[in-house]
Amino acid sequence: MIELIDVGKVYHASDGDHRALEGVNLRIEDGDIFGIIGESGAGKSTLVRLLNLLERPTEGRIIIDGSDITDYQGKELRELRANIGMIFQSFALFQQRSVLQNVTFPLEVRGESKAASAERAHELLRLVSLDDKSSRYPSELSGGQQQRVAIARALANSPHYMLCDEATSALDSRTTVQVLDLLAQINDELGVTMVVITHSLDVARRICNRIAVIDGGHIVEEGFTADVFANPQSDITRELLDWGAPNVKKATAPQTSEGEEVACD
Amino acid sequence: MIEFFDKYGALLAQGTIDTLVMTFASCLFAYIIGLPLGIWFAVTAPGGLKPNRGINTVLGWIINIGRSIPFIILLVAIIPFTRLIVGTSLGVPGAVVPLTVAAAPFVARIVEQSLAEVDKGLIEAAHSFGASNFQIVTKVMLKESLPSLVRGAAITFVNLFGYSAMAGTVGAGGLGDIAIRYGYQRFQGDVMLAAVILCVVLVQVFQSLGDWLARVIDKRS
Ligand SMILES: Nc1ncnc2c1ncn2[C@@H]1O[C@H](COP(=O)(O)OP(=O)(O)O)[C@@H](O)[C@H]1O
Ligand SMILES: [Mg+2]
Repeated sequence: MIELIDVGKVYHASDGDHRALEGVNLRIEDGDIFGIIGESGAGKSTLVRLLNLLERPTEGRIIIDGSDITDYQGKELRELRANIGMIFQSFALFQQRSVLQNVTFPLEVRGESKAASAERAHELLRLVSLDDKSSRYPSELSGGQQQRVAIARALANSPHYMLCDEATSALDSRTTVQVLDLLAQINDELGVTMVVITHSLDVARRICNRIAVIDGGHIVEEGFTADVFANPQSDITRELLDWGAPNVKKATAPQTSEGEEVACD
Repeated sequence: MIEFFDKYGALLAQGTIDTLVMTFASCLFAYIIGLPLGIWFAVTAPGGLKPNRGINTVLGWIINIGRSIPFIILLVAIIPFTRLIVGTSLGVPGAVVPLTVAAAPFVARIVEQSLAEVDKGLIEAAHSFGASNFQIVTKVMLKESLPSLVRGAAITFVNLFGYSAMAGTVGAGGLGDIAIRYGYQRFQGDVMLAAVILCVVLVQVFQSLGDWLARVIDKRS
Protein backbone atom coordinates (compact mmCIF):
# COMPACT_ATOMS: atom_id res chain seq x y z
CA MET A 1 0.00 0.00 0.00
CA ILE A 2 1.19 3.50 -0.85
CA GLU A 3 0.02 6.43 1.26
CA LEU A 4 0.68 10.09 0.65
CA ILE A 5 0.07 12.34 3.62
CA ASP A 6 -0.19 16.11 3.03
CA VAL A 7 2.43 15.91 0.32
CA GLY A 8 3.61 19.08 -1.39
CA LYS A 9 6.35 19.88 -3.86
CA VAL A 10 7.96 23.19 -4.65
CA TYR A 11 10.59 23.31 -7.39
CA HIS A 12 13.38 25.79 -6.85
CA ALA A 13 14.10 27.03 -10.34
CA SER A 14 16.42 29.82 -11.45
CA ASP A 15 13.43 32.10 -12.05
CA GLY A 16 12.09 31.56 -8.52
CA ASP A 17 10.06 28.98 -6.66
CA HIS A 18 7.43 27.00 -8.47
CA ARG A 19 4.74 25.04 -6.65
CA ALA A 20 3.83 21.81 -8.45
CA LEU A 21 1.84 19.97 -5.74
CA GLU A 22 -0.02 20.99 -2.60
CA GLY A 23 -1.77 19.05 0.17
CA VAL A 24 -1.92 15.75 -1.67
CA ASN A 25 -3.48 12.89 0.28
CA LEU A 26 -3.79 9.56 -1.49
CA ARG A 27 -4.00 5.91 -0.65
CA ILE A 28 -3.20 3.29 -3.26
CA GLU A 29 -4.20 -0.22 -2.17
CA ASP A 30 -2.39 -3.39 -3.13
CA GLY A 31 -3.71 -4.81 -6.38
CA ASP A 32 -5.04 -1.46 -7.61
CA ILE A 33 -4.56 -0.05 -11.05
CA PHE A 34 -4.66 3.49 -9.84
CA GLY A 35 -5.08 6.21 -12.46
CA ILE A 36 -3.93 9.77 -11.99
CA ILE A 37 -5.47 11.97 -14.64
CA GLY A 38 -5.16 15.62 -15.38
CA GLU A 39 -4.19 18.10 -18.02
CA SER A 40 -0.64 18.86 -19.07
CA GLY A 41 1.23 20.69 -16.33
CA ALA A 42 -1.22 19.58 -13.61
CA GLY A 43 1.56 17.88 -11.64
CA LYS A 44 1.05 14.23 -12.64
CA SER A 45 4.68 13.43 -13.43
CA THR A 46 5.84 15.20 -10.30
CA LEU A 47 3.42 13.13 -8.24
CA VAL A 48 4.46 9.78 -9.68
CA ARG A 49 8.17 10.63 -9.46
CA LEU A 50 7.76 11.24 -5.74
CA LEU A 51 6.75 7.61 -5.23
CA ASN A 52 10.24 6.29 -6.03
CA LEU A 53 11.90 9.52 -4.86
CA LEU A 54 13.15 10.59 -8.28
CA GLU A 55 11.91 13.87 -6.79
CA ARG A 56 11.81 14.61 -3.06
CA PRO A 57 8.65 16.09 -1.57
CA THR A 58 9.13 19.45 0.09
CA GLU A 59 6.23 18.75 2.49
CA GLY A 60 4.45 15.70 3.86
CA ARG A 61 5.27 12.03 4.18
CA ILE A 62 5.22 9.06 1.81
CA ILE A 63 4.50 5.67 3.37
CA ILE A 64 5.03 2.46 1.41
CA ASP A 65 4.07 -0.88 2.95
CA GLY A 66 3.98 0.77 6.36
CA SER A 67 7.48 2.29 6.14
CA ASP A 68 8.05 6.02 5.90
CA ILE A 69 10.32 6.25 2.86
CA THR A 70 10.42 10.05 2.61
CA ASP A 71 14.02 10.36 3.77
CA TYR A 72 15.46 7.17 2.32
CA GLN A 73 19.02 7.50 1.04
CA GLY A 74 21.77 5.35 -0.45
CA LYS A 75 21.35 1.60 -0.26
CA GLU A 76 17.93 1.79 1.41
CA LEU A 77 16.70 3.95 -1.45
CA ARG A 78 18.13 1.63 -4.11
CA GLU A 79 16.44 -1.35 -2.42
CA LEU A 80 13.16 0.55 -2.44
CA ARG A 81 13.51 1.40 -6.11
CA ALA A 82 14.15 -2.24 -7.00
CA ASN A 83 10.66 -2.93 -5.63
CA ILE A 84 9.08 -0.23 -7.82
CA GLY A 85 9.33 -0.73 -11.58
CA MET A 86 8.84 2.25 -13.87
CA ILE A 87 8.01 2.82 -17.51
CA PHE A 88 8.14 6.08 -19.43
CA GLN A 89 6.46 7.90 -22.29
CA SER A 90 9.64 7.83 -24.38
CA PHE A 91 10.38 4.19 -23.35
CA ALA A 92 13.89 5.16 -22.09
CA LEU A 93 15.50 2.02 -23.48
CA PHE A 94 19.29 1.90 -23.57
CA GLN A 95 20.08 2.32 -27.26
CA GLN A 96 23.47 0.61 -27.15
CA ARG A 97 22.14 -2.46 -25.36
CA SER A 98 20.27 -5.32 -26.94
CA VAL A 99 16.71 -6.12 -25.88
CA LEU A 100 18.03 -8.85 -23.59
CA GLN A 101 20.67 -6.54 -22.08
CA ASN A 102 18.02 -3.91 -21.44
CA VAL A 103 15.92 -6.37 -19.48
CA THR A 104 18.90 -7.67 -17.50
CA PHE A 105 20.03 -4.15 -16.58
CA PRO A 106 18.07 -3.87 -13.31
CA LEU A 107 19.39 -7.32 -12.30
CA GLU A 108 22.94 -6.47 -13.31
CA VAL A 109 23.01 -3.38 -11.10
CA ARG A 110 21.92 -5.52 -8.16
CA GLY A 111 24.79 -7.92 -8.70
CA GLU A 112 22.83 -10.89 -10.08
CA SER A 113 24.86 -13.44 -12.02
CA LYS A 114 24.83 -13.21 -15.81
CA ALA A 115 23.26 -16.64 -16.25
CA ALA A 116 20.46 -16.08 -13.73
CA SER A 117 19.76 -12.60 -15.16
CA ALA A 118 19.57 -13.92 -18.72
CA GLU A 119 17.22 -16.70 -17.70
CA ARG A 120 14.92 -14.29 -15.90
CA ALA A 121 15.05 -11.87 -18.85
CA HIS A 122 14.02 -14.56 -21.33
CA GLU A 123 11.15 -15.50 -19.03
CA LEU A 124 9.95 -11.88 -19.00
CA LEU A 125 10.42 -11.45 -22.75
CA ARG A 126 8.19 -14.49 -23.25
CA LEU A 127 5.61 -12.81 -21.01
CA VAL A 128 5.60 -9.74 -23.29
CA SER A 129 5.80 -11.98 -26.42
CA LEU A 130 9.17 -10.65 -27.56
CA ASP A 131 11.58 -13.47 -26.80
CA ASP A 132 12.29 -13.89 -30.52
CA LYS A 133 13.65 -10.31 -30.56
CA SER A 134 16.02 -10.67 -27.61
CA SER A 135 19.19 -10.02 -29.63
CA ARG A 136 17.76 -7.03 -31.51
CA TYR A 137 18.46 -3.42 -30.56
CA PRO A 138 15.76 -0.89 -29.56
CA SER A 139 16.17 1.09 -32.79
CA GLU A 140 15.08 -2.02 -34.69
CA LEU A 141 11.73 -2.27 -32.88
CA SER A 142 8.38 -0.52 -33.26
CA GLY A 143 7.14 1.81 -30.51
CA GLY A 144 4.79 -0.79 -29.09
CA GLN A 145 7.53 -3.41 -29.04
CA GLN A 146 9.88 -0.96 -27.34
CA GLN A 147 7.35 -0.25 -24.62
CA ARG A 148 6.85 -3.99 -24.08
CA VAL A 149 10.61 -4.38 -23.65
CA ALA A 150 10.47 -1.53 -21.13
CA ILE A 151 7.67 -3.33 -19.30
CA ALA A 152 9.75 -6.52 -19.17
CA ARG A 153 12.69 -4.47 -17.85
CA ALA A 154 10.51 -2.83 -15.20
CA LEU A 155 9.44 -6.28 -14.00
CA ALA A 156 12.98 -7.71 -13.81
CA ASN A 157 13.30 -7.40 -10.04
CA SER A 158 9.77 -8.76 -9.46
CA PRO A 159 8.56 -5.43 -8.06
CA HIS A 160 5.32 -5.07 -6.12
CA TYR A 161 4.64 -1.72 -7.72
CA MET A 162 4.88 -0.33 -11.19
CA LEU A 163 4.75 3.34 -12.16
CA CYS A 164 3.63 4.24 -15.68
CA ASP A 165 4.12 7.88 -16.72
CA GLU A 166 2.12 8.48 -19.91
CA ALA A 167 3.26 5.04 -21.02
CA THR A 168 1.00 4.94 -24.06
CA SER A 169 1.03 8.60 -25.10
CA ALA A 170 3.60 7.99 -27.84
CA LEU A 171 1.71 5.01 -29.28
CA ASP A 172 -1.10 4.72 -31.83
CA SER A 173 -4.51 3.65 -30.57
CA ARG A 174 -4.26 -0.02 -31.55
CA THR A 175 -0.84 -0.40 -29.89
CA THR A 176 -2.10 1.53 -26.88
CA VAL A 177 -4.81 -1.05 -26.37
CA GLN A 178 -2.28 -3.90 -26.59
CA VAL A 179 0.04 -2.29 -24.06
CA LEU A 180 -2.83 -1.45 -21.68
CA ASP A 181 -4.13 -5.00 -21.87
CA LEU A 182 -0.64 -6.27 -21.13
CA LEU A 183 -0.46 -4.03 -18.05
CA ALA A 184 -3.87 -5.28 -16.92
CA GLN A 185 -2.70 -8.86 -17.42
CA ILE A 186 0.43 -8.24 -15.34
CA ASN A 187 -1.68 -6.68 -12.61
CA ASP A 188 -4.04 -9.63 -12.68
CA GLU A 189 -1.56 -12.50 -12.97
CA LEU A 190 1.44 -11.18 -11.06
CA GLY A 191 -0.48 -9.01 -8.60
CA VAL A 192 1.63 -5.93 -9.42
CA THR A 193 0.04 -2.74 -8.12
CA MET A 194 0.06 -0.09 -10.84
CA VAL A 195 0.05 3.68 -10.78
CA VAL A 196 -0.96 4.90 -14.21
CA ILE A 197 -0.43 8.53 -15.15
CA THR A 198 -2.43 9.68 -18.12
CA HIS A 199 -4.15 12.66 -19.67
CA SER A 200 -6.42 10.27 -21.54
CA LEU A 201 -9.75 9.22 -20.10
CA ASP A 202 -9.90 6.30 -22.50
CA VAL A 203 -6.76 4.91 -20.90
CA ALA A 204 -8.15 5.40 -17.41
CA ARG A 205 -11.50 3.91 -18.36
CA ARG A 206 -9.91 0.83 -19.90
CA ILE A 207 -7.71 -0.35 -17.06
CA CYS A 208 -8.01 1.69 -13.86
CA ASN A 209 -10.17 0.53 -10.98
CA ARG A 210 -9.64 3.79 -9.11
CA ILE A 211 -8.72 7.25 -10.36
CA ALA A 212 -7.68 10.56 -8.91
CA VAL A 213 -8.12 13.76 -10.86
CA ILE A 214 -5.39 16.36 -10.41
CA ASP A 215 -5.53 20.00 -11.35
CA GLY A 216 -3.08 22.77 -10.58
CA GLY A 217 -1.21 20.55 -8.14
CA HIS A 218 -4.33 19.62 -6.15
CA ILE A 219 -6.26 16.36 -6.10
CA VAL A 220 -9.78 17.55 -6.94
CA GLU A 221 -11.53 14.21 -7.00
CA GLU A 222 -10.86 10.58 -6.21
CA GLY A 223 -12.82 7.36 -6.31
CA PHE A 224 -13.76 4.22 -8.20
CA THR A 225 -13.42 4.80 -11.92
CA ALA A 226 -17.02 3.94 -12.69
CA ASP A 227 -18.31 6.34 -10.02
CA VAL A 228 -16.15 9.22 -11.15
CA PHE A 229 -17.20 8.74 -14.75
CA ALA A 230 -20.89 8.39 -13.90
CA ASN A 231 -21.03 11.19 -11.40
CA PRO A 232 -18.14 13.65 -11.70
CA GLN A 233 -17.86 15.99 -8.71
CA SER A 234 -15.55 18.71 -10.00
CA ASP A 235 -15.65 21.08 -12.94
CA ILE A 236 -12.28 19.94 -14.19
CA THR A 237 -13.43 16.32 -14.29
CA ARG A 238 -16.53 17.29 -16.25
CA GLU A 239 -14.32 19.24 -18.62
CA LEU A 240 -12.01 16.25 -19.08
CA LEU A 241 -15.07 14.07 -19.71
CA ASP A 242 -16.25 16.46 -22.41
CA TRP A 243 -12.92 16.26 -24.12
CA GLY A 244 -12.91 12.49 -23.81
CA ALA A 245 -16.35 11.93 -25.29
CA PRO A 246 -17.69 15.14 -26.83
CA ASN A 247 -20.55 13.59 -28.79
CA VAL A 248 -21.99 11.75 -25.79
CA LYS A 249 -21.71 14.52 -23.22
CA LYS A 250 -22.46 17.50 -25.42
CA ALA A 251 -25.96 18.03 -24.07
CA THR A 252 -24.83 18.37 -20.44
CA ALA A 253 -21.78 20.52 -21.12
CA PRO A 254 -22.50 24.24 -20.73
CA GLN A 255 -19.24 25.42 -22.29
CA THR A 256 -19.70 23.37 -25.44
CA SER A 257 -23.29 24.50 -26.05
CA GLU A 258 -22.24 28.08 -25.41
CA GLY A 259 -19.46 27.65 -28.00
CA GLU A 260 -21.98 26.27 -30.47
CA GLU A 261 -24.30 29.23 -30.01
CA VAL A 262 -21.44 31.54 -30.81
CA ALA A 263 -20.70 29.46 -33.87
CA CYS A 264 -24.36 29.73 -35.00
CA ASP A 265 -24.22 33.51 -34.98
CA MET B 1 62.05 6.66 -57.91
CA ILE B 2 63.90 3.54 -56.82
CA GLU B 3 66.96 5.61 -56.26
CA PHE B 4 64.96 8.00 -54.10
CA PHE B 5 63.65 5.24 -51.88
CA ASP B 6 67.09 3.66 -51.64
CA LYS B 7 68.39 6.92 -50.36
CA TYR B 8 65.52 8.15 -48.16
CA GLY B 9 63.37 5.06 -47.51
CA ALA B 10 64.96 4.24 -44.16
CA LEU B 11 64.72 7.88 -43.08
CA LEU B 12 61.04 8.10 -43.95
CA ALA B 13 60.31 4.73 -42.31
CA GLN B 14 62.01 5.85 -39.10
CA GLY B 15 60.10 9.13 -39.28
CA THR B 16 56.81 7.28 -39.65
CA ILE B 17 57.60 5.04 -36.68
CA ASP B 18 58.64 8.00 -34.50
CA THR B 19 55.49 9.92 -35.38
CA LEU B 20 53.25 6.94 -34.67
CA VAL B 21 54.97 6.14 -31.37
CA MET B 22 54.69 9.75 -30.23
CA THR B 23 51.06 10.00 -31.30
CA PHE B 24 49.92 6.67 -29.83
CA ALA B 25 51.80 7.09 -26.56
CA SER B 26 50.63 10.65 -25.93
CA CYS B 27 47.06 9.74 -26.96
CA LEU B 28 47.07 6.88 -24.47
CA PHE B 29 48.45 8.99 -21.61
CA ALA B 30 46.17 11.90 -22.49
CA TYR B 31 43.18 9.57 -22.08
CA ILE B 32 44.51 8.13 -18.82
CA ILE B 33 44.45 11.69 -17.46
CA GLY B 34 41.69 13.28 -19.53
CA LEU B 35 39.03 10.57 -19.35
CA PRO B 36 38.57 10.60 -15.55
CA LEU B 37 38.85 14.39 -15.60
CA GLY B 38 36.15 14.63 -18.28
CA ILE B 39 33.88 12.24 -16.39
CA TRP B 40 34.35 14.24 -13.19
CA PHE B 41 33.63 17.46 -15.09
CA ALA B 42 30.42 16.01 -16.59
CA VAL B 43 29.23 14.52 -13.30
CA THR B 44 29.69 17.77 -11.35
CA ALA B 45 28.09 19.96 -14.05
CA PRO B 46 24.81 21.74 -13.24
CA GLY B 47 22.08 19.18 -13.94
CA GLY B 48 24.69 16.40 -13.87
CA LEU B 49 24.70 13.25 -11.81
CA LYS B 50 26.17 14.93 -8.74
CA PRO B 51 26.24 18.68 -9.36
CA ASN B 52 28.99 20.57 -7.53
CA ARG B 53 29.45 24.15 -8.58
CA GLY B 54 32.83 24.64 -6.84
CA ILE B 55 34.55 21.56 -8.25
CA ASN B 56 33.00 22.12 -11.67
CA THR B 57 34.20 25.71 -11.86
CA VAL B 58 37.76 24.81 -10.87
CA LEU B 59 37.85 21.92 -13.35
CA GLY B 60 36.51 24.23 -16.05
CA TRP B 61 39.31 26.70 -15.40
CA ILE B 62 42.01 24.06 -15.47
CA ILE B 63 40.66 22.58 -18.68
CA ASN B 64 40.30 25.92 -20.44
CA ILE B 65 43.69 27.25 -19.38
CA GLY B 66 45.27 23.97 -20.53
CA ARG B 67 43.58 24.26 -23.90
CA SER B 68 44.49 27.88 -24.46
CA ILE B 69 48.29 27.63 -24.16
CA PRO B 70 49.88 27.40 -27.64
CA PHE B 71 51.64 24.05 -27.94
CA ILE B 72 54.99 25.44 -29.01
CA ILE B 73 55.10 27.57 -25.85
CA LEU B 74 53.95 24.72 -23.63
CA LEU B 75 56.64 22.52 -25.14
CA VAL B 76 59.37 24.87 -23.96
CA ALA B 77 57.73 26.06 -20.75
CA ILE B 78 57.38 22.63 -19.22
CA ILE B 79 60.91 21.39 -20.02
CA PRO B 80 61.82 21.15 -16.30
CA PHE B 81 58.66 19.09 -15.71
CA THR B 82 59.43 16.89 -18.71
CA ARG B 83 62.95 16.22 -17.35
CA LEU B 84 61.45 15.33 -13.98
CA ILE B 85 59.08 12.78 -15.52
CA VAL B 86 61.19 11.06 -18.20
CA GLY B 87 64.69 12.20 -17.29
CA THR B 88 65.21 14.07 -20.55
CA SER B 89 63.56 16.81 -22.54
CA LEU B 90 64.82 15.44 -25.83
CA GLY B 91 63.83 12.76 -28.30
CA VAL B 92 60.55 10.86 -28.44
CA PRO B 93 60.13 10.62 -24.62
CA GLY B 94 60.83 14.34 -24.35
CA ALA B 95 58.00 14.99 -26.83
CA VAL B 96 55.44 12.60 -25.36
CA VAL B 97 55.24 14.51 -22.07
CA PRO B 98 54.30 17.92 -23.54
CA LEU B 99 52.02 16.26 -26.10
CA THR B 100 50.21 14.50 -23.24
CA VAL B 101 49.95 17.68 -21.19
CA ALA B 102 48.59 19.55 -24.21
CA ALA B 103 46.05 16.88 -25.15
CA ALA B 104 44.70 15.88 -21.70
CA PRO B 105 42.52 19.02 -21.21
CA PHE B 106 41.26 18.67 -24.77
CA VAL B 107 40.34 15.04 -24.07
CA ALA B 108 38.60 16.05 -20.82
CA ARG B 109 36.49 18.55 -22.75
CA ILE B 110 35.40 16.24 -25.56
CA VAL B 111 34.71 13.39 -23.11
CA GLU B 112 32.54 15.78 -21.11
CA GLN B 113 30.69 16.77 -24.27
CA SER B 114 30.09 13.16 -25.29
CA LEU B 115 28.72 12.34 -21.84
CA ALA B 116 26.52 15.44 -21.77
CA GLU B 117 24.78 14.18 -24.93
CA VAL B 118 23.44 11.11 -23.13
CA ASP B 119 19.64 11.33 -22.84
CA LYS B 120 18.69 12.46 -19.33
CA GLY B 121 15.71 10.10 -19.51
CA LEU B 122 18.07 7.12 -19.60
CA ILE B 123 19.88 8.31 -16.49
CA GLU B 124 16.55 8.79 -14.78
CA ALA B 125 15.46 5.29 -15.83
CA ALA B 126 18.71 3.86 -14.43
CA HIS B 127 18.03 5.66 -11.14
CA SER B 128 14.54 4.19 -11.08
CA PHE B 129 16.02 0.66 -11.22
CA GLY B 130 18.21 1.35 -8.22
CA ALA B 131 21.51 1.89 -10.04
CA SER B 132 24.22 3.73 -8.09
CA ASN B 133 25.93 6.82 -9.50
CA PHE B 134 29.06 4.78 -10.24
CA GLN B 135 27.00 2.22 -12.15
CA ILE B 136 25.24 4.99 -14.05
CA VAL B 137 28.60 6.40 -15.18
CA THR B 138 30.03 3.04 -16.26
CA LYS B 139 26.97 1.16 -17.45
CA VAL B 140 24.88 3.99 -18.88
CA MET B 141 26.82 7.17 -19.64
CA LEU B 142 30.04 5.63 -21.00
CA LYS B 143 28.22 2.79 -22.73
CA GLU B 144 25.59 4.98 -24.40
CA SER B 145 28.14 7.56 -25.55
CA LEU B 146 30.72 5.05 -26.79
CA PRO B 147 30.34 5.88 -30.53
CA SER B 148 30.75 9.58 -29.71
CA LEU B 149 33.77 8.83 -27.49
CA VAL B 150 35.38 6.88 -30.32
CA ARG B 151 34.86 9.79 -32.71
CA GLY B 152 36.43 12.09 -30.12
CA ALA B 153 39.42 9.76 -29.81
CA ALA B 154 39.93 9.87 -33.58
CA ILE B 155 39.94 13.68 -33.49
CA THR B 156 42.39 13.68 -30.58
CA PHE B 157 44.64 11.27 -32.44
CA VAL B 158 44.69 13.38 -35.60
CA ASN B 159 45.36 16.55 -33.58
CA LEU B 160 48.26 14.91 -31.77
CA PHE B 161 49.57 13.67 -35.08
CA GLY B 162 49.75 17.27 -36.25
CA TYR B 163 51.23 18.58 -32.98
CA SER B 164 53.91 15.91 -33.05
CA ALA B 165 55.39 17.68 -36.09
CA MET B 166 56.38 20.55 -33.78
CA ALA B 167 58.09 18.10 -31.47
CA GLY B 168 60.96 18.12 -33.95
CA THR B 169 62.00 21.28 -32.10
CA VAL B 170 63.18 19.06 -29.26
CA GLY B 171 64.82 16.58 -31.61
CA ALA B 172 62.08 14.00 -31.40
CA GLY B 173 62.16 13.27 -35.10
CA GLY B 174 59.06 12.17 -36.95
CA LEU B 175 57.61 13.00 -40.34
CA GLY B 176 56.91 16.64 -39.55
CA ASP B 177 60.50 17.13 -38.46
CA ILE B 178 61.77 15.52 -41.68
CA ALA B 179 59.54 17.76 -43.79
CA ILE B 180 60.84 20.88 -42.07
CA ARG B 181 64.49 19.91 -42.01
CA TYR B 182 64.71 18.71 -45.63
CA GLY B 183 62.17 21.00 -47.21
CA TYR B 184 62.67 24.27 -45.40
CA GLN B 185 66.27 24.11 -44.34
CA ARG B 186 67.91 22.08 -47.15
CA PHE B 187 65.52 22.87 -50.00
CA GLN B 188 65.00 19.19 -50.86
CA GLY B 189 61.39 19.47 -52.01
CA ASP B 190 61.10 15.81 -52.96
CA VAL B 191 61.81 14.57 -49.41
CA MET B 192 59.48 17.16 -47.96
CA LEU B 193 56.74 16.14 -50.39
CA ALA B 194 57.18 12.43 -49.55
CA ALA B 195 56.95 13.18 -45.80
CA VAL B 196 53.86 15.35 -46.28
CA ILE B 197 52.16 12.74 -48.46
CA LEU B 198 52.85 10.12 -45.78
CA CYS B 199 51.28 12.42 -43.17
CA VAL B 200 48.18 12.98 -45.31
CA VAL B 201 47.76 9.25 -45.98
CA LEU B 202 48.22 8.29 -42.34
CA VAL B 203 45.76 10.91 -41.12
CA GLN B 204 43.20 9.75 -43.68
CA VAL B 205 43.68 6.13 -42.63
CA PHE B 206 43.29 6.78 -38.90
CA GLN B 207 40.37 9.17 -39.32
CA SER B 208 38.55 6.65 -41.54
CA LEU B 209 39.35 3.87 -39.09
CA GLY B 210 37.85 5.94 -36.26
CA ASP B 211 34.73 6.78 -38.27
CA TRP B 212 34.31 3.17 -39.29
CA LEU B 213 34.71 1.90 -35.72
CA ALA B 214 32.26 4.48 -34.37
CA ARG B 215 29.75 3.38 -37.00
CA VAL B 216 29.97 -0.37 -36.43
CA ILE B 217 29.66 -0.11 -32.63
CA ASP B 218 26.70 2.27 -32.84
CA LYS B 219 23.48 0.25 -32.46
CA ARG B 220 21.16 3.17 -33.15
CA SER B 221 21.04 2.68 -36.90
N1 LIG C 1 12.35 20.33 -12.61
C1 LIG C 1 11.41 21.29 -12.57
N2 LIG C 1 11.74 22.55 -12.21
C2 LIG C 1 10.80 23.51 -12.15
N3 LIG C 1 9.50 23.33 -12.43
C3 LIG C 1 9.10 22.10 -12.79
C4 LIG C 1 10.03 21.01 -12.88
N4 LIG C 1 9.35 19.90 -13.26
C5 LIG C 1 8.07 20.27 -13.42
N5 LIG C 1 7.90 21.59 -13.12
C6 LIG C 1 6.64 22.34 -13.14
O1 LIG C 1 5.72 21.70 -12.29
C7 LIG C 1 4.44 21.66 -12.86
C8 LIG C 1 3.94 20.22 -12.97
O2 LIG C 1 4.74 19.53 -13.93
P1 LIG C 1 4.52 18.00 -14.24
O3 LIG C 1 4.48 17.24 -12.96
O4 LIG C 1 5.55 17.59 -15.22
O5 LIG C 1 3.08 18.00 -14.89
P2 LIG C 1 2.35 16.93 -15.83
O6 LIG C 1 3.14 15.66 -15.80
O7 LIG C 1 0.99 16.78 -15.25
O8 LIG C 1 2.29 17.52 -17.20
C9 LIG C 1 4.54 22.35 -14.22
O9 LIG C 1 4.08 23.66 -14.07
C10 LIG C 1 6.00 22.33 -14.52
O10 LIG C 1 6.39 23.44 -15.28
MG1 LIG D 1 4.11 14.57 -17.36
